[in-house]
Amino acid sequence: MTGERCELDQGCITCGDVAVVLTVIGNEGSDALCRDDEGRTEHVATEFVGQVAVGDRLLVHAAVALQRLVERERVPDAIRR
Amino acid sequence: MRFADEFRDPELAQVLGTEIATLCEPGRHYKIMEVCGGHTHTIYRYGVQDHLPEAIELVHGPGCPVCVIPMGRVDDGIAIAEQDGVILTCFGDMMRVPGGNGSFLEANARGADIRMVYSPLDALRIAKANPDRRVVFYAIGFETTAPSTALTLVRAKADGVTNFSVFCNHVTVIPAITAILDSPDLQLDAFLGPGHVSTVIGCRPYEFIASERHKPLVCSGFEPLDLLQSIYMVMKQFAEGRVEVENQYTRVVRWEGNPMALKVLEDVFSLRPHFEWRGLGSIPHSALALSSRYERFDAELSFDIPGVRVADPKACQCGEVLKGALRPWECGVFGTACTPEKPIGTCMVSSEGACAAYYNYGQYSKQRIHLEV
Repeated sequence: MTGERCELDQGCITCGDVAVVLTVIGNEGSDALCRDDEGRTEHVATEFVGQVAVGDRLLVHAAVALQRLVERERVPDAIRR
Repeated sequence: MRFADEFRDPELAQVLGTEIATLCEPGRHYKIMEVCGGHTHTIYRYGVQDHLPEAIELVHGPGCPVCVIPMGRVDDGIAIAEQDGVILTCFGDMMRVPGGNGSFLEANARGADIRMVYSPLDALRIAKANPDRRVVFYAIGFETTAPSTALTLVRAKADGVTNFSVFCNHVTVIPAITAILDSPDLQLDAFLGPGHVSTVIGCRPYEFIASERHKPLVCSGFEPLDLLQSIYMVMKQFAEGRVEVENQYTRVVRWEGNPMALKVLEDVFSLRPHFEWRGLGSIPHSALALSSRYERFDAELSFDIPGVRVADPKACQCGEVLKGALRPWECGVFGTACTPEKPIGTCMVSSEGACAAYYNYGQYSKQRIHLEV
């Protein structure tokens, strides 16, 4: 989906320091093929997070993975008390 | 259910709002700055402020990458784009930022070739596909975005690409926070730290804010419950007499940041002695230039650039909005002469800009809280 996320009408996620969580669905050299929760796919550079495997969850900004998620994304129990 | 839905649960938001209210000291007013424009956007879009007691005031900070670009740097980009054989590439919101000589969109109408990209890696692909053109990436953003520029340059160097360069406007968040702490205009009680910047730099660089400046800071995620929990953590510190840096966004932020990204940033970039921020003025050591190891990719060295400082339009009060000294709707041209369709100031351009966020969501916030949160 390269290029599709800079939409003048809706704001630009790269300008806005927005990062998205994507799931790895395949490896392609130093890039990973990733998918978001709505099924859209994107090639992501993985040099900053090391080796990734299918199923890994990555925080991605401007097609570059910045961090690997180690926790399940859920509201902490501290809020649920 | 998407994970984000759980972080927008209205019942949990109500519970957190109530608990935050119980932590307020009677008669005391709390000013908490959210540094990041992404936080500002969430606050307006989901009406986070409406869950808070009146004693807590959220102050919007300078962390919108587009909003801090001074007009002169926009003109520099246009000057590059108007040179023979150049393709200038940039992120989407930059296309509409007004400079002294118009915006990138207006430059395109005059014949320039300025293209919107999602990633600097796309700009490199354009360079490889157009070997007879000079392709320049207009780099903006904080430490969230600088790694993608750095990685692109590493790949360009490794691949021996000779027709690609970067006009670097990357800025760093810590000097901006320091400038705000030093500003006599504003007396803040605490900060919500920028979550995505912190995935790269970690929490350690903020420690001086607690230890030397005696202000709590909580690194926060971007969903409504992330922000409410972060405010709860700030208020808990006040209630317990603590002043610390804490991390609410533990699902992606590590205390040490991302060492691999930091190492590449150090190799590719060097700190500029000074850089002008819109609204904050010249701040020392607050921006990045390409290091000597990457100087052959530095558009500032290979293009003739005016480098002229351009004063902001007098009617525009973006500077005061960026410092949190003025609310968006208190600006004289907000919503009249200055709108997202025809912005005068940068804060009205990006959806993360405080003015655009308030213009798009502010007046409907109380309705939206019931519909969306």
